Amino acid sequence: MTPPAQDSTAGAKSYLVAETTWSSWLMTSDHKRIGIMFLAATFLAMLLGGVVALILRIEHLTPHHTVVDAMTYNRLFTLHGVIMVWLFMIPAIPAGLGNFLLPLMLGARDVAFPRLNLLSFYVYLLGAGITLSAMLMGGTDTGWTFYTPYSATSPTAVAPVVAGVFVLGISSIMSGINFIVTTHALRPRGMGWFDMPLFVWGIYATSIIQVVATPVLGLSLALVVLDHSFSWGIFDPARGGDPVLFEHLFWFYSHPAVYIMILPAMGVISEVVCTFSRKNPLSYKAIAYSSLGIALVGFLTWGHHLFVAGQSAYASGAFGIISELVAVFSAIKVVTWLGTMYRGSIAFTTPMAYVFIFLFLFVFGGMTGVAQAAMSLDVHWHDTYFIVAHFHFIMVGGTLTGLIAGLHYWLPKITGRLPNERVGLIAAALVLMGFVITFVPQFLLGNAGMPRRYYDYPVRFQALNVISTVGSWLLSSGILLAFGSLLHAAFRGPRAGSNPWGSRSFEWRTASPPITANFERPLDLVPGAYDYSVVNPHD
Amino acid sequence: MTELFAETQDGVALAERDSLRRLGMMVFLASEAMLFAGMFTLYAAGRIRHPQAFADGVDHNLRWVGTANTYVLLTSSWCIAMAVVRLRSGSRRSALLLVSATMLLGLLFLGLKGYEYQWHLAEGDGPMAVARHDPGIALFMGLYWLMTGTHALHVIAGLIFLGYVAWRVAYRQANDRLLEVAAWYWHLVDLIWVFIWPLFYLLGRVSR
Repeated sequence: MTPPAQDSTAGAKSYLVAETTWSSWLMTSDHKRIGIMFLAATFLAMLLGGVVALILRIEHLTPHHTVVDAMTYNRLFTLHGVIMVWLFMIPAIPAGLGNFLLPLMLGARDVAFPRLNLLSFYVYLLGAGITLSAMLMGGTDTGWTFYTPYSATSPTAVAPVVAGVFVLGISSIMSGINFIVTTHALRPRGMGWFDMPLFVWGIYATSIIQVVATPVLGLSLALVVLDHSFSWGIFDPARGGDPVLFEHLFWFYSHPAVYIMILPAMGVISEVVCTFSRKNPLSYKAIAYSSLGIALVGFLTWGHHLFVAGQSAYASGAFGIISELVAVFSAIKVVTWLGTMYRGSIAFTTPMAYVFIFLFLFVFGGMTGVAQAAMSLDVHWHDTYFIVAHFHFIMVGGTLTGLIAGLHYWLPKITGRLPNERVGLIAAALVLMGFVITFVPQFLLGNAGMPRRYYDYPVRFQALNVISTVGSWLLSSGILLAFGSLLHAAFRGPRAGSNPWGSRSFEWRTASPPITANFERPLDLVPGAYDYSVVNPHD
Repeated sequence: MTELFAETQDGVALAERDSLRRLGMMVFLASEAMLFAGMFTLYAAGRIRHPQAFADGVDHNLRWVGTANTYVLLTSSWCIAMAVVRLRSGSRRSALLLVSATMLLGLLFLGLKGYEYQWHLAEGDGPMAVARHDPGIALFMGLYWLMTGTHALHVIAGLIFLGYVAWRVAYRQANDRLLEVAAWYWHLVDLIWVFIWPLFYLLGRVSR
């Protein structure tokens, strides 16, 4: 299953073929192999969550019963959310691509705690197993947000789902600690903070959120289990508890968690833009600081999920204004990426195509976010399909396109083989079309008043629902084509050479695929990671 | 070969590994602090909503046990701090004695805690019986079991960690840096107790 090693490094074999037994993968402490295992696991999760999404869309082809009954529908949308958020989007880029790339970009041999890294993967598998085992118990119907007091009283399998997500959180914290320490301590002498590739900033900012916010999620989930199993009533008004308090604790994690999903994708975009524009970023510091800015401000915005939950208007106003700040940091990034392309030598490759898709969807979805952060508008859109469309624009349009861009871009680094450009571009076009057709109608549906998470809808909403469902077929075929093409290229694609894109970034200054120890010689930091003004001596 | 590639088993130079552990523990402690910060937030929200019930709950608690445990843990913190100092100055033997004292005090804490838990259980106030109380008291007792229980689990984790480090120190496989990192964890657990103590044992309705 492994492609042969590059012969450019004298003697040492690539990490893919250095050892080939099953145990050499399952017991590895090599960040590259752990990264690949994370990518594979999160890919399977995405497929499962995607199948569930397709069933949900098919159900909405007709206003009433189409293929599943109402109770099944409730359990399926919960499953879709739980899988996509915790099993796929949170770990996919940081623990998958981030694991693979962080040490390579820093010229390090591995992450700071390699065994903790492997443990993180198995804890992820354990959490995924517990969460998915709840499917066999009939699943749960609370929605991925587990709002109390319903989640404390729902007769469905709330406890295993919530416990599984709790365990996934532990994995997330482990990865976060590992990446923070790696970034601080394993940079080689001579590499300052502002010499690092920008992807590292994205992962670093993400890791801060993972470490600081995830414990609060764990706490709130543990309390849901205690409320559900032992009737503690911490969030039950009948027993003196406060259900809104759960929303506060839950969103204290889960709002920053959307930045766990988007910041690494932004890191990918920063790398791809610079490489394929053959230019240094318009402002390195603007991208780096805005990553930190989003991570920090993201901790102070959670109240915008509670505009209609009885929160004081004063608090809502403050949360709304702080939320708008995220748009400022995001806009700084978008402008900087566009400025990077300006007068660059742009190569329209598949990763670059996804950058354009990302920019379109992210700006479009981001603008709807700006509108929603305004209290008066959100009261109208709250709990409607408008919200669903908004966060899919950011999460799918942002995170998923970022992930696919990164996978195309770093496939030669990971496997030593090139992706197929023609298939890649066709898939990109399908993803864009499918995405727009799926989710633009949902904005219109939400604005017209269709609530989210409802099994039935009035007949007048049917036309837009049918368009959205057809779009979901296009979107999923695009995603399948993209991943199918990537998988094929990983095993059968043409050989890439060590630096097929002519990038200056540090991870390309060793063989592709790298040897187990990453670098034959200590990483040469000259020229800088984005210095295209000189001939690259490493090519 | 530069020092970057001077490998140990983990592929990281030895001197570097100490600083990695220190930083890793710092970041982990930040994570732990957030876990308890969430619980203190819950306590604050509950106390604002049910001031009388929370005060009654505090008055009903065994104040002498909570207070004794505070002294026990603070003394243990002093012991572990001194153990690091002694190991750094080269006296392994007295360092190990101090670590043992720390662990004995930790066990004493758990013993007193167990006595207190037993007392609650004998009154029928166990964690499974939270729901039978009146609303405000139920919230207080829920938070009591949650916060002291989570803290006790951290004490147990700290004891296991200290035991492991002491074993490594005894067989000369660890230096004072590893012990220092373990001590940091122990200090955090003690520090959290210093906040739990007033919230569950002192801030009642009456002053005794």
